[in-house]
Amino acid sequence: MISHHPLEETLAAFSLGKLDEGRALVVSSHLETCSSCQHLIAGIDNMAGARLDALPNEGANPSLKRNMLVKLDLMGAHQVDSHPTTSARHEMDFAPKSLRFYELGHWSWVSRGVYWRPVTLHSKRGARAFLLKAYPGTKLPRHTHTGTELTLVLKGAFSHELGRFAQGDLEDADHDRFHQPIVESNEECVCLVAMEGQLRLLGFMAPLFQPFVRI
Amino acid sequence: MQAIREKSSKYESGKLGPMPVAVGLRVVWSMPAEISDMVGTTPAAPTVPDFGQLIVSIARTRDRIAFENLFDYFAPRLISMFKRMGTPNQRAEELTQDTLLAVWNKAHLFDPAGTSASGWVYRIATNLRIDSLRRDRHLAKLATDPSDELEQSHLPDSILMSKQAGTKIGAAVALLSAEQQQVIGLSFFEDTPHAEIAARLQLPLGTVKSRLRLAMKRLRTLLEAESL
Repeated sequence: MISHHPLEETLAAFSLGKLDEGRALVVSSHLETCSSCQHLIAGIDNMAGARLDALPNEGANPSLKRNMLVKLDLMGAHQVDSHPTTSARHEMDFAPKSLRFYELGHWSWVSRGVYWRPVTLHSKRGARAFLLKAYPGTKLPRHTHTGTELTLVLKGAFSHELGRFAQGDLEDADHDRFHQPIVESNEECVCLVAMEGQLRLLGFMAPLFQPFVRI
Repeated sequence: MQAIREKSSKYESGKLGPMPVAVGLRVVWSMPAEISDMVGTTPAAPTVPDFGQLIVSIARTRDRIAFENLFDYFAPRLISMFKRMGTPNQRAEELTQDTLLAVWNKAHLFDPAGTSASGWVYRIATNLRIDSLRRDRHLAKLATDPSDELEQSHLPDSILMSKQAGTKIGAAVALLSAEQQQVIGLSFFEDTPHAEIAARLQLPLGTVKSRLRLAMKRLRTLLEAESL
């Protein structure tokens, strides 16, 4: 049961193609398993479709239809929609389909029991995307962000002061909060993250870690 | 509102047994006139034929007559829609052709029990418009690698849904208030910036944003209550 969804603004921007690539990747990965968000978007499309029906029929340029029918003839009867396919290079069987289009870097150490792995996006603008893995029971360093962050749980679960986040849950976090997630003790936790700005560690150990954290 | 509630409970009676697809489609297609009446900003739509069946017919037999009927109905409306979204005339015609070509090529992906035919066509049109805007941005930057910057992750044209979901979505949408439908319609259909919606409705920007957020939350709750 998925209990954390993207904020309404985030979902609206996604459905209109206004999110940057990193965030769109995280939201579309969430949608793959979240029927509640799928139905919400279907409802919105339904409403938008009804407004399309309500537009007056002003008639189209007749040459447009002629051209269109010629195109159908040229295309032949059996053109089938082809999707770009990329071989599933990742060893992670829990990875969302949306992620299979992307090259991944190598796992690198972040802090005790915590590793990250960059996702190579096509676009250089906006949020970066990466995977974050933490061993069972890991207490992540207390941190805050200078920008916004979307975190989708792919495997395992973590908790912090705002609740418990398990497989399929998406945390749509504001930048002005700090939090200290704790991974549940029975399983490692892997998340797909889109983050803008820098991660800032808090606490007396922070100066020690900060040089390593270039996520 | 009472009339709509009664109507939606009639839709729900479909839960009792297998609902013929035709009934489901008729229910979905009865939506537009209701919405436009309630929102009051658009003239009442004429009775809409069963376009879902036409799409199914294209998928099964590459039915050209069905395609021509779809074209006659959707082409002028799509052109108006693109123009309302600020697309120049010629580009609006190109996007309309691309949308209808995609309808022909992807007809086998249409699920009559899912989103309405118009909702499906809207989604294809929106995705193509997004792609075209991204391509423009890409060309403007004159990037050297043609595959660079072409982002591919947006909504699938067809979201998989359980049988009868389409009618229940229609019923849930009908339970939103006229104000909520209006703000969702303006945001998604016309792709209007929030500031412009605020000016048009003579409301503070914050009110528009919170109304949209509440409308989407309510729709999610209604859809979950329908336990699709």
